[in-house]
Amino acid sequence: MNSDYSDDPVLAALSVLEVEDVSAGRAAGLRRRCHAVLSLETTASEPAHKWPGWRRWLAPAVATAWSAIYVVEAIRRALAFYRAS
Amino acid sequence: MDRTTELRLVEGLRNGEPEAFDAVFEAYRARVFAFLLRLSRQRTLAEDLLDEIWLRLVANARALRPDTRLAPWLFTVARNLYWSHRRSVILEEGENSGLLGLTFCPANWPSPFDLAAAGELEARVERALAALPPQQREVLLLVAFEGLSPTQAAGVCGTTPEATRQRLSRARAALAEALERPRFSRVPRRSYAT
Repeated sequence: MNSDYSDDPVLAALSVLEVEDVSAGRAAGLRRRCHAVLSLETTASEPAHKWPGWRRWLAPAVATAWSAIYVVEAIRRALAFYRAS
Repeated sequence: MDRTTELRLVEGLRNGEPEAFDAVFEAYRARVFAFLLRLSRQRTLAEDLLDEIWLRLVANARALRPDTRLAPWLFTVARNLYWSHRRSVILEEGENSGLLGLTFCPANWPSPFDLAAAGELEARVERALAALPPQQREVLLLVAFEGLSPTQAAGVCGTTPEATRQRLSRARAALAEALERPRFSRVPRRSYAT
């Protein structure tokens, strides 16, 4: 019951209503289904979280290093060609 | 449920903790079911919609915002599912029966046992509430029974707080009028259709 309306006799009358519930068996079945979904969701999202920090940086680091080597080598060869000509 | 506990449970849900789910399930299952039951007046439908709500919660648990308020979230999903079902029923049944579906039609009558077993005041309130249109019933249940603020109820119903206050005022007047009606009206107390 909303306490803001407790002094209203009409709305306060609603407080006598019972709170219905599903059967215990149905509630248990629903809980099991929800736990199953929850565990599936957890499993699906685990691998990314379990990777050590260095794994996340490995691929970008290799790509960056390879690109840097490529650029340096291209510049070096261009300079060599320029000096030779 | 105090806000600190609620925030802790939301964090638990976001982390996929079954214990957090169990706590939320125990705290809100009956409340959401009672809301659906009084809105739909059909036990089987209310049970099916309840399943859908909780499965949606766990499927979207990781996407919950850390400051999520659980009661408004659950009642919003409950209300949207109910109205979505109602619209689909109206479309399926065609135009004529759809128009009939806009007004509440009690599915069955109260048995003498129901009336005898129920408290007199509770029976009267239940019958008066059931006689209201669903739009008025939902706002009464959310604000006066479930304790949501008009602003929260507006969020649940997809309206403005002012519109919710006006609807609440009309619903209150309709409830007062329904409570004044003769003792044995046609609307059942707790004889829900299945």
